[in-house]
Amino acid sequence: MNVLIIEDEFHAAQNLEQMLKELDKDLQIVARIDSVTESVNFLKANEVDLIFLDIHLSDGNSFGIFDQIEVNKPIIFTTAFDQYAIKAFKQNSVDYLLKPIDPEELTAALKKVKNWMGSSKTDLRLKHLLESMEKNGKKLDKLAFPTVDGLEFVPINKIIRCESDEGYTDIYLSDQTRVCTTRKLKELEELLEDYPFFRTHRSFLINLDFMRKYQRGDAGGHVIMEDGTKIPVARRKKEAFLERLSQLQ
Amino acid sequence: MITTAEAPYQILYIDDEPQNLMLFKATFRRFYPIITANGAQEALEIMEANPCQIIISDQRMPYMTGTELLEEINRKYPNTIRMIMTAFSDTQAMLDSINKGKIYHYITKPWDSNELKSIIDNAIESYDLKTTNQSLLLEKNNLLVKAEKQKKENILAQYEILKNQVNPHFLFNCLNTLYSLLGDQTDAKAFVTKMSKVYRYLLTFRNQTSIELEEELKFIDDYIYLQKIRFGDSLIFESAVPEQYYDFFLPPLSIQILIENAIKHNVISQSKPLRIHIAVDEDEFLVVSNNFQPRLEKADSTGIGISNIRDRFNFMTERKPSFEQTTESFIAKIPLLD
Repeated sequence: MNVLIIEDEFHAAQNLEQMLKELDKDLQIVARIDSVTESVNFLKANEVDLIFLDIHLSDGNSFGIFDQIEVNKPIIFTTAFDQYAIKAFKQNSVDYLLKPIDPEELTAALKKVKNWMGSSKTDLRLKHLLESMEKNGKKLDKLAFPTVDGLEFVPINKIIRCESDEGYTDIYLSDQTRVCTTRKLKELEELLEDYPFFRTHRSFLINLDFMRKYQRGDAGGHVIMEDGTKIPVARRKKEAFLERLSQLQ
Repeated sequence: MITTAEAPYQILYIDDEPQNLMLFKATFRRFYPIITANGAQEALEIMEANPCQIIISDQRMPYMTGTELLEEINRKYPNTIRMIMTAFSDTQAMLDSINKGKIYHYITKPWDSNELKSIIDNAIESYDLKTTNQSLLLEKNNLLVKAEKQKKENILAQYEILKNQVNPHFLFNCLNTLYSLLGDQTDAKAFVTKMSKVYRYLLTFRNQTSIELEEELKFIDDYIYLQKIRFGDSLIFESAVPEQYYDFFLPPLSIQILIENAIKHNVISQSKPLRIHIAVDEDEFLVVSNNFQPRLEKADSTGIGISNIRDRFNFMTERKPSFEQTTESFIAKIPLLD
């Protein structure tokens, strides 16, 4: 497998190469590149199987590469502490590693890439990521959930609430159907961070657009949703919830 | 001499006898703008429509005495200069007008025009001083507010500078470089990796009010790894938290503070290892316990961690954390939150 390392810090690049060699003898590091310009030139002329991509390069932000050429090879992003990028990666389920790179996390990421390469699926995640960055705040309107026989797309504006159930999450929709997913409520919360959703309780994430009424009461009170369900608000979330409600008005 | 047109004040004279009003106006109209009223009610109406700054009132009037009127005016228009005028030297009335009407001068009838003019001139001067003082005071307050704002902005700027000095990006890039420089020293490399994770957690979540137990426990594993490198087998850590509690919440770093306390206050040695145990009880409290073997000297900052935990939970739940010390052990219980 041919691997390209794009990283502007010499030691970091050298170190990653070393780690990869130790982890897997079959990996060929074809080049170490430190700039956007050189990366574009290299990728135009060469075929690689996997790219490790740092965000800050010597001549600019690495997303600039995708403005110039289309890359349809698996990419594992690397970053030291770039919270906005990390958020985007999480929301689009794009693989990333935090520096200094933990060998165990690197092993897991490689394994994931290999599994992906074995299947015939195309990688839409990077496309989603780039789209969401290009749209600059414009949001995607559907969430995709892997199911036994494929993917299920759920329109975000139809989600009334998400409820955790022993490691699974049930998503209740306005057409009275229910989708069950292995994604944790916490992941959904991160995914829906820029939408009118609020985690009122450890077990509940609600769509504020479907809220009919808020009732004060013991602890943080309750919310009545438009489908009639009564959702508790944890005491620890009360202030943040009322603050969020005041922003809605 | 101030002319009527440019005078910044008006004199209101109140008397129930029309000839007194006429006499006053005739005497002083060349010097001051004057408005007259023939009773308390009319005076108050005039004040409402056209506030006057110097008020001179006769004492004996039907319906409302001069003192009562000036008392009322003092309440509504405290900046006015008020004077009472009377033909009767009634001590009680005089005292009342001074105490209740807060008057500037007590004038006896019949008045001498020169004398009264100088009293009015002094009153006007006193009014000017009063208003100038007030505007100065206002200006001073404005300056104070500005200075306070400036101070705040300076502090914010300093804070920004400090934040840049410990720019997380720089910190983690350095740790990354350090990692590569360590070559084949596996233990040192693992230490740097875990240390990065611990600091990443601190920097990412320190401002968050609550975090899922699962996240905090992962962080605790990394934190314990660092501590175990320091203390080896002298530090024993056992975590027995069932997965069903992983999605409960608690303030970030609360377990870490308890562990740090245990390490700070107890003997940790080969012969007397410190054993820290984490579990969840039937009331959904997280129980962090350790064998109690206090160090001889008291560590400083005792109690700060614990009161910090109390305060943070206090905002989020009615359920109180508890801290119990017996001869054998120290047991901290903190509520897990929904």
